[in-house]
Amino acid sequence: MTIPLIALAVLSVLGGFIGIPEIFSGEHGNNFHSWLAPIFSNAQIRLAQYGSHTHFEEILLMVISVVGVAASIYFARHVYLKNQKIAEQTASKFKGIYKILLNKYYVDEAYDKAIVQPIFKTSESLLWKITDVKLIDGLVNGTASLIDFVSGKVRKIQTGVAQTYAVVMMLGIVAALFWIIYSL
Amino acid sequence: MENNLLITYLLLIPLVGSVLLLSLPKEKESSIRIFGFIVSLAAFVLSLLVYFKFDSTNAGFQFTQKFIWVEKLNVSYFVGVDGLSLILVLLTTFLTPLTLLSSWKGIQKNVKEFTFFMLMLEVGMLGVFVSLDLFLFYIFWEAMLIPMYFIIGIWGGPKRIYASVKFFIYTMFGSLLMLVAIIWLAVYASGPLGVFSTNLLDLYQVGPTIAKQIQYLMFAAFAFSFAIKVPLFPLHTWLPDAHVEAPTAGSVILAGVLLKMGTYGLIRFCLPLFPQAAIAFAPYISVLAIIGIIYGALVAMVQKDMKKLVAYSSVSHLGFVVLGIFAMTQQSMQGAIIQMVNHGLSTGALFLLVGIVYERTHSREISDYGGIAKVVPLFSVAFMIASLSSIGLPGLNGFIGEFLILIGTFKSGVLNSWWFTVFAASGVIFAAVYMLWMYQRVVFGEYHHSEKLGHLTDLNTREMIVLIPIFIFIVWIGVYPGTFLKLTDAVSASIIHQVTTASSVLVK
Repeated sequence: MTIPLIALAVLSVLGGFIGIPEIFSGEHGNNFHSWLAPIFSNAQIRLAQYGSHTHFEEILLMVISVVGVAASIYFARHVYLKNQKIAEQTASKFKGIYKILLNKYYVDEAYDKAIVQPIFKTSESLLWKITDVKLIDGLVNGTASLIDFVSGKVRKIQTGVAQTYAVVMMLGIVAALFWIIYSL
Repeated sequence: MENNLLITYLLLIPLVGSVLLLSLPKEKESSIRIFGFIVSLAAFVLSLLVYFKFDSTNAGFQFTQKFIWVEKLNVSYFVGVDGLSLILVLLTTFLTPLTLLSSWKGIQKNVKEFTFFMLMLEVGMLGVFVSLDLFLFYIFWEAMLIPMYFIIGIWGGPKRIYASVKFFIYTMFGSLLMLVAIIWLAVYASGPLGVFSTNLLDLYQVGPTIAKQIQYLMFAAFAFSFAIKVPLFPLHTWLPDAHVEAPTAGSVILAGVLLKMGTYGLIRFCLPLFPQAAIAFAPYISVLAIIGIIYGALVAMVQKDMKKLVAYSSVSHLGFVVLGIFAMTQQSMQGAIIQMVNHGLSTGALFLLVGIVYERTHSREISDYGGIAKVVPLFSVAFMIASLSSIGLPGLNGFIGEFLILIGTFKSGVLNSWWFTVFAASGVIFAAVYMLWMYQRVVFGEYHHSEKLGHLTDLNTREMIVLIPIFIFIVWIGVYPGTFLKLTDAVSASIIHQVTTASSVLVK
């Protein structure tokens, strides 16, 4: 983990210079500021209406984040490197909270239960095994089986016995005669 | 009409090649393979020549050749290309030599027959894309089924007979409806034209004048046939079987080119011939396309077989293409066409890669793999590029197509609702889920030594030669799509113009 962290740290330092605040670099020193210009020209016009801006917010944010980082480093060093007892004691004192924090508020588990598993199960059973395999393919293969079944039955008309054919022919002639006589 | 032989030569190269191949003795397998490869490479070189001579500013058909074939029916042999067909012709001639090269080790029995069918398949595929006569088109459309039927049925997996028969009957069923519609159209055309005609350019004039109700039926018959080929939900169930059972080369061609015939048909025939019906049906077909996008992705997600996963991902990707076509805007149409090529490249590469590991381990089960990155680093990189391309990572080809389709759909006047884009865009997320999850389970994690994985070796030179050209185009389209979009610019504008003007005239 150390090497990736070093790489990220170096990149963060370099990355910061791309968007270096105007207070350090002058009017157009911040390259990030105009990176997507002129896409936000409408926003620029509106910003201009508020007059010149001071650097108060910039300085405030910088101070807050630097102080925050320094304090965190000091605190972490104090608790985890110098007096590990504090960490252990706090953990055993607030067992419930410690467990929740250790498991990142169970966000991953909740997400898995509420979203991932339902989608997964519906896809597997309802969409794939029922809709695809049973319903659609059932219709497709069912059509084939139906034709197969009907043909199997109809095929038996062809007995190969000449007498049967003769009888059917006679019946046909009789039926045709009746039809002709009735329609006259 | 110019009488240019270039396209005819393009069809003749694989046709004559396949016939000459028959004279080679069966035992000389490597000379058969080399001969087949050279023939398909020659077709690719010739198609490049067509590309360089092609005038992309001209929306009409170029390099046309026509002569009367069946005089009594006024059927002619009429071929030519425009930007749409040219880009698909290039995809076909590009993929065919690569698939032949990829099956050097994978196909061991009946090499001669295999190479013969692959070349015949190329003739059929090229014929479909260059035909400008519906009769001729139909012949190529059907003829191309036969070699594919044999490729799946002879060199396929354990359930190959079921898969090939299912593939054949499914597509045949749709094409018969189209045949009826073609005959009706040609008979109808004899009214205004004075003669029975299957000439596409004549029918472009006649089609939009057909009464609305009949147009709907005609459109439905054509669209049904193409929708099976695409495949559009719920007509897709032949695809997982056919893709999984087909040998690697068959899967690549099936996904790379055959599916595009469906979307090509929608653009070439359904839209300009029946513009009013196309606009009326557009929202419904788009809904099916979106169902396909999400449904295909969700079902792909839960597959345990790598090849089946890639097969279902095709249903999802082709949904995007169909959506782009029926949004009928310049961006969406160009996005759809470029996405056809993208899908051919990325899914083709994925099938090749799955085929490569299958050849070594004889397993496609995701759960049999894990942590192979350490054993086969080159393969893992190649698999990563193909997966990311399929997901649509910016900088690779898939992004360009999906982005254009989504933008075009958002602005579409025909669909006139941004809900289509909202749902379609969710397919992009699901694509990332199923592809990356498969990648993670196969490539990363603990390497558990098993007998199957013991046979795993990294890509060899031949496999690199197959994959690298595909990757070049994956990056090329992703970084500078202009080269390819330029080809389809004029033709998409003209098709949209054809549809909108024809339908607005009728509405008035």
